[in-house]
Amino acid sequence: MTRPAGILDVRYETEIAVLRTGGQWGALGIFLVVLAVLPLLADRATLTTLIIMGIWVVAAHGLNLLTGYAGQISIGHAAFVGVGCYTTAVLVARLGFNYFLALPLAGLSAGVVGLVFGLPSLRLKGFYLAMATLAAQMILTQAFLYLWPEVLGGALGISIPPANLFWFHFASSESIYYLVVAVAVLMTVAAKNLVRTRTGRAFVAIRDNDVAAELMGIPVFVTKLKAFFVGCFFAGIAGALWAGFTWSARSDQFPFIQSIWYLGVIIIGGMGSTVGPVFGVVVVRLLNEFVLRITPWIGGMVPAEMAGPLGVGTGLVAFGLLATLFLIFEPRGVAHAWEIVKERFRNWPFVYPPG
Amino acid sequence: MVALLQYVVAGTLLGAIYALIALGIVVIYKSTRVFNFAQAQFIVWGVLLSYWTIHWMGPALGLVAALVAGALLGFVVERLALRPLIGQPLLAALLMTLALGYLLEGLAFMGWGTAVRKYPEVFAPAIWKGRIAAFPTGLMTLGPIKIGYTQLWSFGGTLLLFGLISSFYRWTPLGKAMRAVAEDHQVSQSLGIKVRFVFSLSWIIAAVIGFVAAVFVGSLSGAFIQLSDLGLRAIPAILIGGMDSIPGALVGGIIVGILEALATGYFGAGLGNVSPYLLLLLFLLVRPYGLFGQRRIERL
Repeated sequence: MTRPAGILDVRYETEIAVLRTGGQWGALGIFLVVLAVLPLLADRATLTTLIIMGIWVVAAHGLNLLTGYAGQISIGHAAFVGVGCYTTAVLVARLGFNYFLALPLAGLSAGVVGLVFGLPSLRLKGFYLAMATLAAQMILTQAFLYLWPEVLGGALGISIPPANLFWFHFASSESIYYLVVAVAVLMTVAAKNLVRTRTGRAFVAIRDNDVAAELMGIPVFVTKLKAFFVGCFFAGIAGALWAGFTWSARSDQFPFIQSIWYLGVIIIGGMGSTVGPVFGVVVVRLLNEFVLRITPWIGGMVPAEMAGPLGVGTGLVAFGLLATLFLIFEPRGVAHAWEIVKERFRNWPFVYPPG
Repeated sequence: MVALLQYVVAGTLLGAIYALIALGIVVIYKSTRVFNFAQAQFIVWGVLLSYWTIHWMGPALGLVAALVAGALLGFVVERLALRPLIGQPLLAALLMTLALGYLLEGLAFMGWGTAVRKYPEVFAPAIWKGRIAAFPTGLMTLGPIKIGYTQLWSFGGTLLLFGLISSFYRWTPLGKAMRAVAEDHQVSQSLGIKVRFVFSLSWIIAAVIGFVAAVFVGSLSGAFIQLSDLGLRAIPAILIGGMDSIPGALVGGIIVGILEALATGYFGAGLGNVSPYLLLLLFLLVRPYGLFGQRRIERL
């Protein structure tokens, strides 16, 4: 990691620190303050968008750890979010748990389900493993719908009361926003630190070459299972937040296309970088908002019966096109572009690398 | 007993459609090692485009025009989306076909909407105005079992297409070249085979197969946009049969079709929808290369 001239590490703690300069601490402080005051400035619709962004960031971190770092492609991530959501709903609505007790348990249960669907990774890799996660997507969403209707509620799903902590109820959008942002920041820190540990580096090693990793003494199967557990744990936490936000769990909220959206988020943001999913979520959700704003305008120009499908179509086309273009022109995503921009500023007025 | 027989027959006929979708994916996978998630969207485009061309130009010309359009679509997709990714990790290509699928689906949505329209009866006598001795339509009763004629023609068409593609790979020089590419890209390049041309051709063939499947799918279920769900059903078929095996696609498709029909018939839609994926998981654990797929040994 490059840094301005004159910043020298004299102690090991400064060497391994994530934030090394006063400027970085300042930027983080400003960012956190902005996060804290945003709800005071935002209207209701914007606040909803921000809450969804926060939940997506948590889920995308999970997918990024699993796919971006450990290289295990998952096309069933939404189903694991669903497991977290349903766990929370069952614990809160059926068993009377407190929401904040159910939140970590939702992560654990999604992680365990993830382990089960990660078991085929003993023999499979790459594309074949992706198929196992596709099976997870299909089986889990159908299980939500048909299994155990008196507990899981069938097509109607489960309704839960707002989360409460002692006397305080997380019922207003603002309070849910602070809850989601707090968890999202916490999970981002956790994700950032996880990839700096021995386990995180083992993830990268099995992504880049699993045979070589095994020869170096990394237990490949165990590491893959760890990746599945961690990735799905994040998904479960996101699911619990989703339950806290919508006060319900319904099987149709976790379709296959949602899993593809998460993949798109980490492609666009940049796989294998902690800041990538955050960028990706912001870009994809903003694109979504933009499409929602622009479709009435396009819709005005075509016959009324065309307008609805046009809206859905525009969203899909915009998302598909963006992901396609990123794959061709910037496979390392916005995070990489951001690094380049920072590098340019740091070296200004010199151009490095030259030319 | 009659019910069982009826389910098996219905499942076999349904499975033929899965097999045809699977065939398109296998053709691409064989030579390029890319799994094409967008094959389902080729089918959607095929149904919608052939609907219009048949309405405009009549059945014979319309079908030909649709197949030409399919070939063009396959060519354009390969050239613009997949060619730039050669040399990048396989994950990129996989994600590309997923993104591409949604791009194609979105475009189809914009052009077609949510309408469900009746697909022209390409197998019916009336539409051909006596130019060709046409096929009977409606229901055929074979003892206690009822079979739709349209399904029967689709089944026959599927078998014919499988035969054609298999013999193409087996006997023609070009087919042999494509098999060589499937074996090893670098070796076949150094033997003078134009690997890029083979890639391009694979996509074209797959898209045309998709458009043929589309004609059958449209005749069976009408023209509407949600047909892309069929593509997800074809995925277990491919893996059960074996990723790089053409007969495997047929067998896998029929197994999945029968299994789904039986599970739906006896246990309801929930298990019916899930059963192909449960079988898929079982296969992934026990026999990941499928029934007929080639077992690959990895070495450094």
